[in-house]
Amino acid sequence: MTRWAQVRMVAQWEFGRFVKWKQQFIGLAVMVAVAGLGQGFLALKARSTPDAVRVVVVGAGRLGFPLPAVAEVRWDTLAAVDAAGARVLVRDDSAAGALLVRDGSTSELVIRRRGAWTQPLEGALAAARQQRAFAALPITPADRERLAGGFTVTLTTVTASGAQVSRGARMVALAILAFGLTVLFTGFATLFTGITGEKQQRITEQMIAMVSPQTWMDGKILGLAGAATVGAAIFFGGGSLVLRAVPLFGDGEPFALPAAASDVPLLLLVLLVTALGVLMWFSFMAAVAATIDDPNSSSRPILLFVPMLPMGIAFSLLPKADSVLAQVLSVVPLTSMGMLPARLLTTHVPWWEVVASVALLAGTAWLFRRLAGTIFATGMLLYGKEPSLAEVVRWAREG
Amino acid sequence: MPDAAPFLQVDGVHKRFARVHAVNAITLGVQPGEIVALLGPNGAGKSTLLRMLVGITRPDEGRISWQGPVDARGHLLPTASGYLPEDRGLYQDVPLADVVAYFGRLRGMSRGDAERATAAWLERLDLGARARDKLGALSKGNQQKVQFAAAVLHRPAFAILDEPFSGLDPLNQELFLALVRELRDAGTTILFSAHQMQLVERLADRLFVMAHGRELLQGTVTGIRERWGGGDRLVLEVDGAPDLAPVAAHPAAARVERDADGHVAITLAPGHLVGDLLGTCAHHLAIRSVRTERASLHDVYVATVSAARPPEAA
Repeated sequence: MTRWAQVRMVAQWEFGRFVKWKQQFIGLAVMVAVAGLGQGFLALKARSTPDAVRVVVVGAGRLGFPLPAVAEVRWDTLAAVDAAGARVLVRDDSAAGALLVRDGSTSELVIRRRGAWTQPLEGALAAARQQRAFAALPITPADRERLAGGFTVTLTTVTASGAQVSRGARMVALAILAFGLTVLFTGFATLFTGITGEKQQRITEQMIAMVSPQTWMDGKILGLAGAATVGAAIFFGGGSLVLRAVPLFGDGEPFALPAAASDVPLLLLVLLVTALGVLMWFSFMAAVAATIDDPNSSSRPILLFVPMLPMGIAFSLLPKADSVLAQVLSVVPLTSMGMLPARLLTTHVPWWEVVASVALLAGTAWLFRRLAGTIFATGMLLYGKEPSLAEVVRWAREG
Repeated sequence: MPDAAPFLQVDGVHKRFARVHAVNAITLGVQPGEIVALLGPNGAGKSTLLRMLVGITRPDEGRISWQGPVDARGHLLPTASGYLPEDRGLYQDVPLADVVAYFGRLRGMSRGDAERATAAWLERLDLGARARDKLGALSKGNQQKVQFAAAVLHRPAFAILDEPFSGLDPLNQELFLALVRELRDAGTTILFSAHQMQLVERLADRLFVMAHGRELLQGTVTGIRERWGGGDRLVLEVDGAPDLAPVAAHPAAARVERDADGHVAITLAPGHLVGDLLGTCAHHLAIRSVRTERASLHDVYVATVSAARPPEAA
């Protein structure tokens, strides 16, 4: 049997152990159900909106224009009260508010408590006044239409090749990146469990009698990365399903991620960088896990959070993707997974930068997996003791 | 068998850990088709030696060679070897049939062969009805049976079994004796370690005893008894509470003991016969009955290992 056949077998086994389809789909069903309930509640709330509130108007004739329609507001101009009487109606909760009109441009709104209708009311009155003034101008209907016209801005971004990056492509690329990060941060716990748990259950000795430590580690990294990818895919797939399906109940527009065919090379590059980044960080975490004897007493699981630092730095530079620092970080393997896609989407990226970034990322992933295999091969029988950093460095040099 | 080329040859192997010389100049040969027992007290270096044979660790000095197919590092290929480690461990959250079949596939079996062999072994081990149970639900003894099946599922040419009888009740110990013999009869050469001397005596063709990392003795059970000499015992049922000093002073008596039932057990010194003692015993003791016992492997082992001195600290 070839080494890679064994790697595939170990990877399939680990994948099967950690992908519990039943639990995954139960989780998905719960997510859909919770989202459905939430949307249902919102729809119910929208449909069960209480009757419009009563707002008493004193001096409506001084406005000089008709009272505009305002959501949730029912004007009462027939109350036949003065300002003091209107204040009493509000104080006694007989009316939600009282609009005391002073002249065509000023008024006082008396209320006991703010409501969702208060702010729109002011805007509606202002708009009604402007419309009345606009209608009174001595201009033709054509001029009136021209003056009322808006201004359209379509946003496009140009990549290194000069092609345009559409909004859809940007959304897809960011979704790929977000997916990769979800795989990373949800998969680390599984990776730790998968490696340290096996050592705790004393399975490693049998395994290493059958496959080499490097084969075992390669299979672990691939299988557990695959399991984390499935978990994230179900999460993202479920999320997309919810975003597509739920608006239909609320008369909204279904969610969609459109991407033009011309964006495919860019998206494939982002996918490649994300996949390499996931493999690199999984290999790094596998190396860390290989040094842990007992995860319950070890302080090393805190290293789970290490990737957050370079990722955080990369994302903090998103608004300055053109800077020299951003360019450097897009080549440095620890940050390139986040920085290179950000630069690809927002600025001109020379071809050599892309090549250097991908090559260094792939090389570092390979080095980390070798390191993980070497540490595991040396430390797997160290029960009750964790190797020091100096020992790990020595093993890495000797391996 | 002595003229055949050994399946396994260990020459002058050393292994050191920090301040411990765990395996010290061990030379051992195992012939094809043999069952060899590796004996020694806790910490003797048996498991360290077995781990080097499997390829988990490397010797600091010396050479390990195999007659079977080996990889680039000289380790016997997983398809030809089976290993039951001292540290038991299995995937607790997986059905036991899946675990056994997985191990078989890692050792080169096809999926179909591994599944068929797994079903057959689980039936043989009275675990057929529990094939879909998770391992964590099994008793320690049953987990040991599963572990054994996983080690030999693929009918290896050479099996290394580190304490295979550990955790088994007497009935299952008998079952394992039969299974190991079946394996040998089917062509598997076996090297095992154990502490149950009565089982070792019934199973092993040859013994290799070590202590403090070094060889103490090796040979067949009969040969070791003869070479070690003496050890046979004369057991007398006597009346009263006689003075045993005259018997103990006899040169043929290596050790004289009296149990609570009034039996006197006299261990013969090497080179002496029962007859040498009988006259003295008859003269000093009121004997009601007499029987003799061959020295057990347990006796030989205890006497040999007790006499072994730890090496001086370097």
